Amino acid sequence: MTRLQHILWRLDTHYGGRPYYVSGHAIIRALHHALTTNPTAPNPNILSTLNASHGIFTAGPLTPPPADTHPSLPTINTYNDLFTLRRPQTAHLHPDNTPHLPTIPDIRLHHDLPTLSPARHFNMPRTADTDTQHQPWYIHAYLHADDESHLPLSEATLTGLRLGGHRTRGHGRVTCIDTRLTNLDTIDYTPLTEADTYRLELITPYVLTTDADATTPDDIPSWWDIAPRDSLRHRTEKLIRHGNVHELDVIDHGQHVTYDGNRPIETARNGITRIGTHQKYGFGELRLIPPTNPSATNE
Amino acid sequence: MTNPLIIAYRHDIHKALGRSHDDAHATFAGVPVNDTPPHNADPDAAALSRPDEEPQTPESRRPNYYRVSLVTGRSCFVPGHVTTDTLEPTIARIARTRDPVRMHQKWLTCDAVTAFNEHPRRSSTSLKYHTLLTAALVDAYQDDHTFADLQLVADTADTIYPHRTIFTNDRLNLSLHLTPTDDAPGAPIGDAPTRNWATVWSNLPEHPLPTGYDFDAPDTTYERLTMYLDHTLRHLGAWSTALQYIEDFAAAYLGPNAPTPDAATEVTP
Repeated sequence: MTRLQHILWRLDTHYGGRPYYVSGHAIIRALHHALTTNPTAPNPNILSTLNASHGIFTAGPLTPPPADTHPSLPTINTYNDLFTLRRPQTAHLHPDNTPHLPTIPDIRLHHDLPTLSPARHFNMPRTADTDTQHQPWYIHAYLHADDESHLPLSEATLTGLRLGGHRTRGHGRVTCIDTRLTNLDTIDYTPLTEADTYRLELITPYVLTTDADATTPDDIPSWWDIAPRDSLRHRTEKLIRHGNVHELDVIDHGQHVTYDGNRPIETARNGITRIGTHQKYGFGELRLIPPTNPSATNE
Repeated sequence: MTNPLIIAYRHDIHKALGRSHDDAHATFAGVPVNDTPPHNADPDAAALSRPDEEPQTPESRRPNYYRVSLVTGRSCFVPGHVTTDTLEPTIARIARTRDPVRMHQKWLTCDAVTAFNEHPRRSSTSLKYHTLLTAALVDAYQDDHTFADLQLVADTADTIYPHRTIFTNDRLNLSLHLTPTDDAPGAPIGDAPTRNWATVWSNLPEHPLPTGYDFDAPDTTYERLTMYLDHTLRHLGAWSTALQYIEDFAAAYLGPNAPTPDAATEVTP
């Protein structure tokens, strides 16, 4: 059995890290700080068994200020439901309530540090209802554990974490507003069983090389059908462990490749718990897409 | 007979004058305007930025063509600063241009037209970039190329391709071409026009902007900002909205007074 603990955090203060995602490593590190400083929290030893996804930023529903209501995690019944808040093109809560404006972050500079604001304010042209609207921002992530007894973590444990850069200045504080468990054995994979071909979407980067460990460099998996093999876009990431900055060469997220394997369900499950180097820290998350699924983005 | 590209550059002038298509005049500043571009280029360009069937504004309400900036979250209408008297001379100068290449250059570099959207119900779309996309498609179609033949090509060079360059600033040029070059990576724009900017941008084989961590150089404010720009562009489906966002973002954060790669401000983690 593999259980996932999904977490929806509200961003309370400006986030000072990189905007693509909050790395799973940053989440583990924040949990380590929380567990070692709170005597009532679970034993920090459990962190060695936890695997954290990258945290993906997602916009909340547009509400007139002040707002004191919180969205909740979407219902997860099918494989595709797992990715409702994971894909950059569609990551927004309450899509029926989005305005005719795309949900993108508000950026503020704090002493030359670009930060993501915890809420976006729109001063729209005169509408029937209101002129100014307020859109809070959230982070979605999920945990799974090598030892199932270590989950779930409580909302109290997950609240008050500080994520991203300049945490000591108060940046990146989050509140857990919803969390729930999902069992990978019981969700519906039916759409995947009815297709003959698939595409793979890189939800998070796939690590090729790292100088963090004495590990063999990963090659692009043989079941990614790419021609030529070196046509994918790379990016350089960094991983800070034990005070040392390590360089990662990654296949950039957001790209699509053709799936050239013959075990789609198994691949789909592995893509959720992630593949490749630093999968424990969020890298290597993949989504399998049958050809009937639209890939075009929407506002 | 008016050059098809001139028709494309003048086809939505009525939006900059605050009039709907139904209320649009046939002439402005002494030249024919608001005509339909050939080869179905206008609907194709529109499909890149908004749905086919857009609810119409009620007849009792004047359509609001002032764009909402996604950088500021506010309308581009500045009471007291933006008036018909100040805008119309500028719009007229653009409309009266007779040379298509010169017209293309004016649309690429004009600030005044950035105040307007291409549809009042999609207030973050951009009249400027919808017009440039329309002209680029007219140019491609009249050369007997199809939409599916085209790629989004990102180039940091100074070369402007007449009608095909849909965005330019001092750091980045974006064009619609048949094939990319070794120096200018490209990504296919799709089999048919749809709001797929984020997908196409994400499929560029190389980043046109610095978006990674340079191990030999500090993580600078400039690089952090271009990461934010890249991140946001991965969220935007509408082409004219995305292109306008690049312009607005660069003006707000990467302009003359903003940190540059050479005068980097190290961001301490």
